[in-house]
Amino acid sequence: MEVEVKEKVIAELEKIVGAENVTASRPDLYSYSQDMTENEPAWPDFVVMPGSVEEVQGVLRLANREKLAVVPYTAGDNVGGLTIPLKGGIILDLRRMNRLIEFNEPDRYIVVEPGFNFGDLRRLFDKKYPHLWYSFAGAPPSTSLTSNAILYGFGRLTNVVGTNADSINGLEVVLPTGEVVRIGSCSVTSSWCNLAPLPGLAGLFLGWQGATGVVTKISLQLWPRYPLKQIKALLITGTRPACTLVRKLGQKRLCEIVECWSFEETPSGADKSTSAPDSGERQLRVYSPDEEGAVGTCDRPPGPDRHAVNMKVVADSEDELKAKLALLDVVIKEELKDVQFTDLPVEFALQSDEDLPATGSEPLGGLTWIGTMGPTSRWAEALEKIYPLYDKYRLKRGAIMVPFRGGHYGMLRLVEQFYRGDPDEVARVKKCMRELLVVVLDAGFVPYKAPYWAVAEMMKRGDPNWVELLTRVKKMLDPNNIMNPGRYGDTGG
Amino acid sequence: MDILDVVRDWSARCAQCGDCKSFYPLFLPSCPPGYRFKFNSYFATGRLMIARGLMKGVLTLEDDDVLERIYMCTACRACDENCGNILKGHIVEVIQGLRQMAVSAGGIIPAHEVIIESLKKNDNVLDKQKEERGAWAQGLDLKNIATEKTDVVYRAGCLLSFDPEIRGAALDAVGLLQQAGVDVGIEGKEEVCCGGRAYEIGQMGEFTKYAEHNIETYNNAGVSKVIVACADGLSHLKLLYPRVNIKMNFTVLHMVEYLDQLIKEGRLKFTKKLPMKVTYHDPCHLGRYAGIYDAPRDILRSLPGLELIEMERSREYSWCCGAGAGVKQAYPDFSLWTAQERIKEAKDTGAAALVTSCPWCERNFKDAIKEFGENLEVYDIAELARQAV
Repeated sequence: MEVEVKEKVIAELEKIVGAENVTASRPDLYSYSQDMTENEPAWPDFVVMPGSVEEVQGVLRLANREKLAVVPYTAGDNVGGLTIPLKGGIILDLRRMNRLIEFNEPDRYIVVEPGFNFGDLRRLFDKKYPHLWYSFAGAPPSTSLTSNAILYGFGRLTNVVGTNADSINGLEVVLPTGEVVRIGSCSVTSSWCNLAPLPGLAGLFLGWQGATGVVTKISLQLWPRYPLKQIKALLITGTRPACTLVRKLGQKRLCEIVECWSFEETPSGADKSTSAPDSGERQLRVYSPDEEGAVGTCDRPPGPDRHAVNMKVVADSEDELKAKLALLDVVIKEELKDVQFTDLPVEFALQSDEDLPATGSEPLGGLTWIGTMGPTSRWAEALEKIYPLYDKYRLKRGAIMVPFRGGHYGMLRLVEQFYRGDPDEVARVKKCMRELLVVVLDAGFVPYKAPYWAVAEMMKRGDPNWVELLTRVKKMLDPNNIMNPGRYGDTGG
Repeated sequence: MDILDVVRDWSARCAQCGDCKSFYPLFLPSCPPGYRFKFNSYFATGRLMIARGLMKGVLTLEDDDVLERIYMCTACRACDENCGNILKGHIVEVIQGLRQMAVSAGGIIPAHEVIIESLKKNDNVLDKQKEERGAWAQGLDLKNIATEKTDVVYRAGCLLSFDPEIRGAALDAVGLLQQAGVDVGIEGKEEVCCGGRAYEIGQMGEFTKYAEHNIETYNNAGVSKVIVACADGLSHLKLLYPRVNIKMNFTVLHMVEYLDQLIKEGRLKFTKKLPMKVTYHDPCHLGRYAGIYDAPRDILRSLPGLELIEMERSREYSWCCGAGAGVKQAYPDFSLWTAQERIKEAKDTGAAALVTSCPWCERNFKDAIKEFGENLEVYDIAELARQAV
């Protein structure tokens, strides 16, 4: 971008949001150029922090006039490279817009701005509403409720409530051309209580990865936090029995949380709780490439596939809990007869319960996934093709399976932690993720929070009329293709 | 390990997840520059990215704002407290490494040049005449360890030695030690800076010079204990000095540790009532660095009539005062904003006074109170304890 144009745009942006909330300095731009994934960095030209809907409108009108790309941003921890500005332009960092607009206890919903995050909500529950809960994701506290929901984000209650997009009651969106629209009951009444029974316009903004507008308010359903709970974890030998058990448990709707994790015993790093760099004798622990745990590379020893199944049963009364646990035992015995399994310590499953923060993993610097949703009946079949790929690329197996809405569909998430400092490992991860994409699509699973190259693959494979519709919708809402280019509906034209 | 390797390795190990941005399980802000300026580069994760960019050569120290982002961090270690991935202490270690790199490349900011010049000329960080250093103790009839043997030496540190408004804390501290029958001496005008501030702004040569000097001074004097008034000084003597590889034949204690010990041994008794509500601010270097949380609270609880009310962000979750690591000198407005945030939190408890155990915190709180017209008393623990004797 020419210096004169850049200076002119900065001056206008400063007029809209205030000089303190605009930056084009190199360290700032660099810190928005990449995320935790293996996706290639790309630098924005500006980072802007609006504080109001009017300021968002002003920025979008300017971007339209100047044909500048705009990437909505909240925390940047989406694990899909979704906020990497593929065509430069403006990062619209929404964290200043963090107001709680309404907490409706009787109708159990909350209306918030995009900067309001999981930590904010968790604090609110802990302080004032201990009987309420949300489908918190396995994500850091700084994760935006809005971004998680509009990207069909996973939460721990998905077996009960579905993705967090299923909990949306209403939206306020600034369209790429600057107009503000409301979706749901809030568009025709004073209440933000429901989307139904109006025509389903929310879909114009869900799963689009910010390519169709900027959500500036969202209403989300809240859920009960039960007074009683019991957590159980099993270690099961074999892929099929574990997948079948989890699917059956999902269908029974016995558990508030039921998850299946591939279980690998790989060497872990140092004792992070006790190591301190300044404890007298210098204790700076440095991972060297030949030390176990220093990198994500893993040559898997021979042995059977094993999976951990985490279950959380909740209840309002002791009788209810007892009955549910008894039934749970019956299902486990029935499904796992003739299968080798043992109990795991409850601590293993606690991460599935009290969810925030998301720390505690190895310090490798890289995290990526192919997160998908699809038929729970095909989990095992897919995994039997997926695991050899992990082995081929010498990477630790990281599959997580979770049923959604009583098991009607479910998550198949293939997670990989990798060491950013090893180019060879990063290259293997890249190749592995691309091959995994083909396997999951072939098996009937659809990626969510899909990186641009996965979106491109889906648009290549997809029904041409579906692709054409996406393109027309995108064109209608975003005629200058300024919103997060390279995502759904962008055919590069 | 070479500092470049530390920076390279650990900056590559940050996943930019953002857990460092707030205190778990409070879900309250933890990083002062991050919460003041909000762009990624002001948070720890952004600084580690800058480190990565410098290592890869896509950023340079000459780029606009790089030095500001590197130096506008109080090294409070709140990020390290929250991060569940990177080993504790290593985020700030990378930031310190960046500062050393900057200094090596000539990237020194003017305010820090003043500090270094002052150290070279006057052995203190405040640009005060070194001859005035021992003036605070005039008339106290204290032994000087250079000429007389004592069991314990009290280190006032730079700020208490030269700041007339807060030096009462040093007078009260030695008064308490004398009252408890401790054989205490001082260094008078021969006391020199601990060198910690030099370390924090990347000046390793200056740091090493003072560390070696102080260790040798205390070894030669034959003291068994060095009692440090300042939290920064405590963490530098206790945690950084072992890195210079000279055997230390003495124990380093912060004043609150020693005071607490004297009280528990029955050598100090409090008889006067102090009917006041106070809240306690954990200095970062005493708390998150050295892990000393209980001693100051035990002292306060032992003072008759005094009621201690905790702020929500306390102990390892304390919000920084804003004065550390050269930030007060280089970015005074941001430093005062940080202190003001803490003062608001202290006032929200209903306490009439904010008590701390570090002169840098005390100074910054007092400055912020003056700047923003707040109404809150600020005390060092030693001042309150002396009143109760």
